[in-house]
This record gives sequence, structure tokens and C-alpha cells, in this order.
Amino acid sequence: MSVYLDWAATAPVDPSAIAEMNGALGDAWGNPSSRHEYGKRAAELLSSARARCAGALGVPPECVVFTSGGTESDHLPLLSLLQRPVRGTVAFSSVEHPAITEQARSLETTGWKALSIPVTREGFVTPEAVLSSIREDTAFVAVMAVNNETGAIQPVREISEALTAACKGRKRPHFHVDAVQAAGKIPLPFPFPGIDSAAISAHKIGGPRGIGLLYLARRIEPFIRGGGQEGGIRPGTENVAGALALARCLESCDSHAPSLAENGALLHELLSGIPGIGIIPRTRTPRDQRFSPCIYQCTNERLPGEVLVRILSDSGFCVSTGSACSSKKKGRPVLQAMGVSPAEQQNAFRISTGSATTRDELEAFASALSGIIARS
Amino acid sequence: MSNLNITGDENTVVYLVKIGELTLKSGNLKDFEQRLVQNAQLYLEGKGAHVRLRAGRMYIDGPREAAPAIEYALNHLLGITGWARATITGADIDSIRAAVVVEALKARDAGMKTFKVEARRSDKSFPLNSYEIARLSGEAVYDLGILKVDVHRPEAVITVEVRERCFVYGPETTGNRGLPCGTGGKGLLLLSGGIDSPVAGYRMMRRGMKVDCLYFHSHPYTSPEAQKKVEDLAAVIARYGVGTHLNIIPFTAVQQRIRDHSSPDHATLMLRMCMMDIANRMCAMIGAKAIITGESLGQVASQTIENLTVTNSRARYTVLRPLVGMDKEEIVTTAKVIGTYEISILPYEDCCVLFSPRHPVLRADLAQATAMYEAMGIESLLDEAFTAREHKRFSWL
Repeated sequence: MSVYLDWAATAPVDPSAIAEMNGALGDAWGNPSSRHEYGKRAAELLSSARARCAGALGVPPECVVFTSGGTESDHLPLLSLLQRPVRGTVAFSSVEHPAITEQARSLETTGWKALSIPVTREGFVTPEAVLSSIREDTAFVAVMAVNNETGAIQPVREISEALTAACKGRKRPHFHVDAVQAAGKIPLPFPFPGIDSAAISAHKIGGPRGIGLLYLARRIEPFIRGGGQEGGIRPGTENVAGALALARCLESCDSHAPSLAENGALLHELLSGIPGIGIIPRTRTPRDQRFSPCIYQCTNERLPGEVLVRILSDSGFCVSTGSACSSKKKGRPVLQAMGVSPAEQQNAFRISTGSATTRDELEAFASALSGIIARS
Repeated sequence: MSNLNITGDENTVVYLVKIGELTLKSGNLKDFEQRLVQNAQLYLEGKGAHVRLRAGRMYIDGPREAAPAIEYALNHLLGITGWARATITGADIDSIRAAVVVEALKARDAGMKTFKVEARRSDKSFPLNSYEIARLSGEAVYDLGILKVDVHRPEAVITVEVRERCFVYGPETTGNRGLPCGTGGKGLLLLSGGIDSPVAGYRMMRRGMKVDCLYFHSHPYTSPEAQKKVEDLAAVIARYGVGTHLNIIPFTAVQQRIRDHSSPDHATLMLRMCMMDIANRMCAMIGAKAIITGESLGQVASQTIENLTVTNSRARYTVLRPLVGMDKEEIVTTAKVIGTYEISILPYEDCCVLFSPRHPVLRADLAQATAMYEAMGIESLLDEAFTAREHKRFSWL
């Protein structure tokens, strides 16, 4: 029996979401664009899934675009820039997920320039840093809602307001928020004026892989073309079953659940009690409201992160690390951006919890971790 | 007239195989030939193929379905310089011409532009002589405009042999050359996941050695993927070496002792000395007479002659380093040809960064290193590691 503490990677599946999905796969397998009864049934279900997602998020249904997941939701607003005749710059924080950083960098081959917004030593993007980094021709800004490595909650509302204020009199850049690690864990920062789009992924909240959504409050020019589905933004025959599963997950997840904060606090206490273990950043306090309680980045004095993960895995505890143990410098870009030393980066690892995590699991984990560090 | 007794019909395939260096070994030629035939038969067990060796040439025939297995064998067999699939034709010039045309078309499809026909007639009852056979066959190709004639340096040589049966075959496929496995004694290869050691193993197999392998892991400091990579490499070289045994030694405790009881800059050197000590035990156990390593000179900072001397001092068997005079490019080329390169470059580290010194000693002193090694008192840990070894077999098929 393993203890699963890698919820930031993916979540155990919610059986009720799968049940809805299987139901739809069985009954409503028609193509929602078809005009006959099979199509109509599928279209109804799709429409209902959209309405349910919108309801759960508190947004209008026309702002919900179903996609294949968080990565694609991050890509669509970026790629729409390629439709613009005039190139400019795109800005993103130095701790964004590779779905943003890699895609933004690849735009450089087409004449766009990528600008990186620095973070503080604690891993936060400040509105000032955003404003200092952007230029007159910045058409796109991306800052994630919750960082997947440290749990840092970025002040995206403040950033949005700052952008609006600073760009008075000219076209405000499109502001995209990757909310993949926020959904189900902290109250979502959107809808909010100035947050033009956001990405959500089903499998982080108990849904199947292969489905997510793009919250789109501001019109974008479609880049991907095809059959015109999803308002032309994301063509392709719709994944009705997936959309239903996502709807169910959004309805069931509860970012206000007390257990999330309690688990976070317990984990913090337990980790602080293990000699040789440090939390990154060191200045994170117990119940620190600036961080998602569900993600903890730590480092240790003894073992490379990957080795520790392997030993923990052998002992039945599943955590993760972002890099491979190697004498070649692979590094951890997020930790690097925060100024964490190479030695601490190499020995860093991530623990992430979710709705089903129990106190017993955390205590067993801490005990195992403590033993491993002491013995190595 | 030679009696090859190859009964041929459309359902039979025949391969003619050229043997290489064996022909130089006048004394033990018979033994080498026997071993070559034996090895070929090992690849072809159960396929209904026959392997014969006559007058310095090997003949393999079998049912059509056996063709893939025969070609696999010929592409991996060590000790042959080349082979060609022959067609057995009727004993008349029209059938011969037709077969020659087929070979010419194959050569053209393979991108060749020029050809010539060579004919050999040992059956004097055949109405045409070699020259005429060659001319008429060549004409058939020329008339159809398939290839251009070049009698001096043709890209494709098509051969017709008229004996009790008629064989027609096209350009040879190059073989692996070398000597048959098993004629060179047994060696123990120190195998890691890098590019070099599999190539070293292959090279010694090609000198006729039967090669078994030795791998050291340090779980959990090294990953299961790193071990899988080494197993995959062993599986590849096993195909050339008529199988191999991979012996896997758990070295975590040894690594830790080295880390705790020697100076950091000597860590890798101490490790390699420990590996040699285990190799000695392994050689004694399996009857190997040589240790094979992928060591090279100067490839990485620590591969100096002084450091090699220290490692070498622990070995109680002859150490063969077939790569020591080669440069990286040559090694990589061989790795790509034998199929180990793509596996070797997978990013799973052999040794955890924890145990690899950032500044390894470049020119170790033998007396000092030996004293440091002995002071570690590592013998009993080596015994335990050796006792705890795991063993896996890899087939040549």
C-alpha cells in the first residue's frame, strides 16, 4: 500500500467523474455537430457540461472552451499571437510551467521576443516586476496562479490591476493565468477584470487525462483551424465525455475544505521537526497564506532529490522531483530563478497533497523521511 | 565435381558465405571452421537450414521461410567477411540470363549504376564456356538498359557459377569479419551504460572471445533505468557473441565505504580498483582468462596512464583494452553499426553524483593509492557484494 503525495503531478481519479464519463461514452457517442438524434443528444450533454463548468467557476458559459488539457489551454492564447501581422514581445514569469515558457520561446523563431519577468527570492512575481519587464509592444503576459514547484500563490489580481492602470490609453496586453495548480486547492482568482484567460486541467482534480478548459474572457484570433467547434477557438470533434467528467470534478472539488489547510499546517510542522530538512523558501511560515497548502518544496542535506525520491518510493511513499540526478547540470529552473543554491536545488524534492490526504499518511511519511535522512 | 547436395527448388534459399581470416590460420583451420559452422547452427536451430563448409566457403541452404533467420545469423555471425543470397537456376542459358537480370534489378534498386558479370564453369558438360556465359548474361542486362557495363571497377559484380547446379548471385553483403566466437578463450567485460564498454566487448568477441559481462549498481543511488540500459546493451552484444551472461553486483555499501574512508579526489580510482577485485573473483568463478574494459587514454580527465596503472595493479588477469588506441569518433561509429549507440546515450547515470568527485586526481601515485585502498579494509564488503550477485542470461537470437 503506497502513500500518494504527488497530487501536483496528478490526482487519483474520482469514480463519480468516471461514471459520468462512461455513461456518456455509452449513450451519447454521437458527434455534437450532427443534426440527427445522436448528434442532438451529444450536443445537449456538451451544453450541459459547459453550463456546469461555468456555474462552478462563476463565469458565463460562452467563456468556457474545452481543450485537451492544461498545456493546450496555455498554448491557445499564445499561439493566437501568430495571427497578428505585427510582431512584438511576450512576457512571462521566470517560474512558469514549460507549457508557457517553451511555447513562448519557440515564438522567437517567428519574430516575437520573449521577456522573462524575474521573481523574488521567495518565488513571487510582483506587479512592479511585471511593469518593469514589459514594453510598449508587449502583447501577452503570463503569470500562473499557483506555482507547481513551491506552491507560491502569485498576486495575479494585483498584477491585473497594475497592467490595466499602466496601459491606459493603449491596448492592454492579453493577460493569461495558468490556474492548473489552483483549481480545487485555493479559491480561483478569476473572473476578475483584466484576467483575460486561464487554464484548467481535469486530471489535477480527479478527472481523466486529456481534458481541460480554457477560460476566455477576451476574444482571441484562432490559430488552430478546423471544423469551427468551441467558437472556432479549439476545433475538433468535442470530447463530450471528458467535458462531463471535468464538470463533475469542478463541482465536487472544494478549495475551501478545511482539511487542505490543516494538512498543510501539519506537514509544515512535521517537516520542520526533521533535522536535515529545509523548506523552500526558508521564509515560508506555517499556514502561510501566500502559499497553496497543498504544495511543499523541500531540500535535504544528504541525498540528491532523485535518490531520495527513489528511496521513499521503495518505502511506499510517492513524492517527486523536477530533475534527474546527474553530474551534468540539469538544474531546476524555478528554484534557479529564486536564487536557490545548486547544492540545494540538486537535493530538492516536492511533496503535494490533495483532498484525500489524511493526517496518518503525513505522519507516516514524516517518520519514514526522518529515518531515511538519519541513516544516510 | 563437388557434391554439395543442395537440392534446390523455388522453395529453397541458398546463401554463399565468404570466410575471412580463418584462411590464414593454417594450423587450427579445422577447429576454427568447425566452430564457425557450430555457431551458425546455433543461430539456425529449428529452422530447417543446413550449414556446410567446403573448400574455404560456407553454404547455408534452407526453406524460404528460413531466409530471415539465415540473414539475421549472417549479419551477426563473427568470422565471415561477406555473404550473398544465391539463386539456383536451371542449367540453361536462358534461366541463367533471367536470374542475372533479377540481380541487376536488385542492384539498380540499391542505387548501383555499373556492373559486370563473372562466370565460372566447372561442369564441362555445359555447352557454353565461362566467357560466353558472362557475355550472354551481361548482354541481357545491357539490352534492358538496367545498368551500365564497367569491367574495370563495377559497383555490382554479378556472379554465375555453373556446377552440377547453377548459382547466380549479386553483390556481397559485408560481414562482421573477425574470428568465430569461442576460438579465443573467455573474457569478462566490465560493462557500464556508456558508449565505450559495449564496443570493447564487441571487439573482443570479434577476436573470437566468448565474453561474459560484469555490471555494478548502487541502488538507490543509481536508478533501475540505468540497470535496464545495461541489460539492453548486454542483449545487443549477445547477438554477436552467441549469447552472454550478465553478472550484476550490488555496490552501494562499497561506494559508501569508499566515500567515508578515502579522500574524495581518489573516490573513482578506489571504485575502479574495487571493480577489478570483483572482476578477479568473477574470472576465477567462470574460467575467464582476461578482463576486458572500455578504457581509453585521455578521454576524460582521469583517464591518464598513471591512473590506468593504479587500476591495472589490482588485476590478476590480463586486462584487454581494445579501445585504448582508438579515438571517440571511431568508437561512436562502431557503436552505431552494432546498435548500442542509441541505448548508450539514454540519460541514466551509472554513478550517482554523490560518489563522483568534482576534482578527481589526475595522476595518482601507485604506492599512495595502494596504501589508501588497503586502509579502507574493504575486502569483506567486496566478498559480500560478490556473494549477493545476480545473474541474467542473454541469448543470441
